[in-house]
Amino acid sequence: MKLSKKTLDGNMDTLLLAVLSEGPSYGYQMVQDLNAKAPGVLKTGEGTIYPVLHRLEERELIQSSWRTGETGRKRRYYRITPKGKKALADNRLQWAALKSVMTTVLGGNPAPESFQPTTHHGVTS
Amino acid sequence: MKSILDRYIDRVLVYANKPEAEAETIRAELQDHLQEKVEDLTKSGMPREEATLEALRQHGAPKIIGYKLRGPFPWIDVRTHGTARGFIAIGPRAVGVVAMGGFAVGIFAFGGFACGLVSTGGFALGLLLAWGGFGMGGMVSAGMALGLVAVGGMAVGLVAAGGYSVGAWVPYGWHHANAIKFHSDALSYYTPQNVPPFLKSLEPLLNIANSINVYFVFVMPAFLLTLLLLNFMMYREGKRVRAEDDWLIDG
Repeated sequence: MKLSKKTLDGNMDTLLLAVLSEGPSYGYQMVQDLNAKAPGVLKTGEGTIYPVLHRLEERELIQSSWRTGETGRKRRYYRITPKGKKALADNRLQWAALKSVMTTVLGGNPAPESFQPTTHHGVTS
Repeated sequence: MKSILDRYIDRVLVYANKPEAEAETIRAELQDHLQEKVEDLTKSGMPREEATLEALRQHGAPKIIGYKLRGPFPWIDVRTHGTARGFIAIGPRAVGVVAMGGFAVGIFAFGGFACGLVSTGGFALGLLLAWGGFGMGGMVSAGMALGLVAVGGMAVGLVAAGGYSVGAWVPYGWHHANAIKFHSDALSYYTPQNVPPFLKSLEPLLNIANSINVYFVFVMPAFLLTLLLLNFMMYREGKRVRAEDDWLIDG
C-alpha cells in the first residue's frame, strides 16, 4: 500500500520532529533515518524535506547551525527546540487518539507490512 | 563550466526565487546533501556519472522543491504552473487576497473561473459581486446572471433585470437614468401593486449592478488590463525561469 502524497505532506513535520528528537542531525542523515525506518516515505523526493525543515525553523520548532562536517564541507545541523518537543508530544497524543478512533471504527484490520507501526516515537503508529 | 549538481541547484533556486543570501544558504545545504549522496552511491559501486544522475533523480523535481521553498503566503506569488498563493497571487491557479488566474479564488478574484467576494471572469462566482460571462452571486451583472440581485442578458434572481429576466420581483416599468427598460421579456412573480417592501428596497442594488453594465466602457478596460497584467506577469516569470537555466532536468 502506497501512502498518498497528501497524507505524507501533512505529516512530514511530525516525522522530522521525531527524527530530530533523537538528537541533532542534518538533511541527508535525516533522509537516511527516515528511509531506514519507513522505506518509501520520501518517494516524492528527498529534497522535499528542506522546505519542511525551513518552515519548522521559521515556526521555531527547530534550530539550525552550520558546522564543518567530517568531509570538510559546511553542513547545516538541525536540533529540536523545547517548543518543537512540545509540538511533537502533542502530535503523538493526536496520533494515539486518531489511531484509537480508526481502529475502533474500522475494526482493527492490520496495516500492510511495509507500513506497520514502527517503534519510532509512536509517530507512524 | 558548472557541474550537473550546480545546474540542478540553480534550477531549484530559480523556482524558489529567494533573496541572494538565503539562496546561497540553500545552495550550500543542497550541495552538501547531493555530494554526500553521490559519494554513498559511488561507494556502493555505481559509476560516478550514474551516481550523480541517480542522486538528482532521488532528490526530486527542482520545480516542486523550488516552489515548496517559497514562503507560505508571500506578498506577491507569480507562478507559471501550479497554484500561486499570496497576497497577490498570479498563476494558472491562484489563491490570494487578489487572485488572478485561470482558476482564481480570493477576496478579489479575476480569471477564467473566478470565485470570491468580488469576482470577475468568464465564470464568476461572487459572494458580494460577480461580473462576467456567466455570473452567480449576491449582486450579479453578467451575460447570464444568477443571483440575489441579477442584471444581464439573461437574469435570474430574487430581484432581476435584463434582456430575459426571471425573478420574484422584476420591476416592470422601472425607470432610472441608467436603467434598462423592461418590457415583455420579464417574468415576475410580484406586480408593482403587490411587491413586498423588502424586494422594493433591493431595487437600488439593481441600479448599482446595472450601472456596472452601463459603465461597461470603464469596467471592460479594467478587466482587460487585469488580463494583460496576468499574462505579462506570467510571461515575465517564464522568461526569468528560462533565462536562468534552459536545461530541463525535471520531468
